[in-house]
Amino acid sequence: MTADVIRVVLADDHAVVRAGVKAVLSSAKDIQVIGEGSNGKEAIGLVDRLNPDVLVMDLSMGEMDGITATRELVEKETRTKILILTMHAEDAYLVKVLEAGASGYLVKSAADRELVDAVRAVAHGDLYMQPSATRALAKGIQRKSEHADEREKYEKLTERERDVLRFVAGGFSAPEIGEKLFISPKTVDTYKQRINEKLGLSHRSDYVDFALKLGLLTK
Amino acid sequence: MPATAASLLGSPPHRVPPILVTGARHFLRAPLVLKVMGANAMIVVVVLLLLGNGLRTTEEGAILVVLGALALAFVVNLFLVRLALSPIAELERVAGRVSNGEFGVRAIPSLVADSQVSRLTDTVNGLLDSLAAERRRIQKLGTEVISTQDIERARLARELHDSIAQTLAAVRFQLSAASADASDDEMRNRLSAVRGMIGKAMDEVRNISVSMHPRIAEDLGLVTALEALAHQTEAHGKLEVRVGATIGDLPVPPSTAATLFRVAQESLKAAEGRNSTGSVDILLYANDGSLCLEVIENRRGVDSGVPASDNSTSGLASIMDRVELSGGVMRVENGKDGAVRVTAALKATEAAS
Repeated sequence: MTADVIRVVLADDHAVVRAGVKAVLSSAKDIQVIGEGSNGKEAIGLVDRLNPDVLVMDLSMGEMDGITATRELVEKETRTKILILTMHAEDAYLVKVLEAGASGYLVKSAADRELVDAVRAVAHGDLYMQPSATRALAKGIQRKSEHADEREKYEKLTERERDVLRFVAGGFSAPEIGEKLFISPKTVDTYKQRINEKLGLSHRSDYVDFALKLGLLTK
Repeated sequence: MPATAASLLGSPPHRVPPILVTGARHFLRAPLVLKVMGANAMIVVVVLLLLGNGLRTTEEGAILVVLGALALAFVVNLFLVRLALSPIAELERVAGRVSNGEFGVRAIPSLVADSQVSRLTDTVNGLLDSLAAERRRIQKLGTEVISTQDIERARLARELHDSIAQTLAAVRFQLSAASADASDDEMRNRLSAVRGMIGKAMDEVRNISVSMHPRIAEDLGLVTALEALAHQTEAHGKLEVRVGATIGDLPVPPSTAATLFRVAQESLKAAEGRNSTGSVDILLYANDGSLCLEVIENRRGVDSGVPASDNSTSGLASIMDRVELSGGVMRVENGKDGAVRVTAALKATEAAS
């Protein structure tokens, strides 16, 4: 930051949106828009050239999208903080954006008032998200920490029993599991019997329920 | 294994003189009426010969010969009729399997059928071939219609997202800037109200765009799209939705992803429409070259305070047509407790989707 002025570059493929964002940011005395681009590639070029404090960037843009541009900038170890400003309100985009290395995520339909605060926050090294996004992230973390009992029981299974459990829950029959694990269908049934003894799972719905609780069906 | 001539005739042909085999085949392929008349005529001739050669000396002998001939005629007639009708039983079996959805099954031509029945078998097989070709044509047409619809929906959704919603966003930003600049409180309040309305309009446009075309499946993949759908449904406060996927990095063709996403979407809508409370599991896995999606309702009860929507299953019916036209299969099963389980399988390759 130069003399406490936050230097910002905008990247959005809609000129009218850039104009609107610029109008909002211009109302803050400590923020100065120093460049504009219409896609991820141009944004990277502007960051290289102008070394701004914050890049406010859309996700869906032609030539190069916002997530790809974020990844490239993070790989280059740029000092510029990236604030994503998008129409996509789904939590899944937020997770991808944070994984890519962005510092903030704002949905356009609710961003006008918060935009200035968000730019200031990321410029000072903080993460910025709207409250709804924070709730979604917190819920995801909470889910992972639940079901400690099931996790403990699962730890008692052998590696092969865990494989069988995942495959049964995933919809595979005993012969198909046998083929995948290079064992006979009869051996698969033996493993299922052991799983039943250790975890009390008998029907496939029990397997599905158990596997989903522990997030085993994600690979 | 296809039936061979030897297996149909029963005994190895090399033990019987070829001329007899040929004669027997000609006899068996003759029309049933001729076969019956021929066999009976032979019996009558044999009886006459026996009666002419001394067996008529006693009355009892003659009676025995006539009774024996009648019994033989009965057995031979029965055998010939059964033999002639056996290809009809085969046709009945094929018709049953075809009506159960096995459209590739054909009647095996019988070596012992008379020529009329053989012609009937050929005609039925020809009819089934035409039916299969017509079915393939309709399926191809259906796939093309679905694909065209998808492209059009995607175009409209993109148009809504990239044009109208972005313009509304720009207007909202400008209103926000104007509101910050306004010195008059009343003006600021009015601008703020308009800004709120624009925000609502943006949300509505976005919801229409998302319901028309699930862009998230294209951007972030089918599994992520299903997880987002689960979160959205949970946000309505009625159902807990869990997603499990074991497809790893398996590439999913866009049209297959769109169809399976819609199956999940309609299944959840139907569950909500039935006022189901409890949890729903969505499973996605690959099996035998197909991508399978299961939506399993674990019902805890029905909220009797809210009437079930009549349209709760109409979406499922239309998506079932779509799955079948795409060359896939879809089943909707009802459990004893009213819980529904939806299963859909589509070929994992682009060509089939």
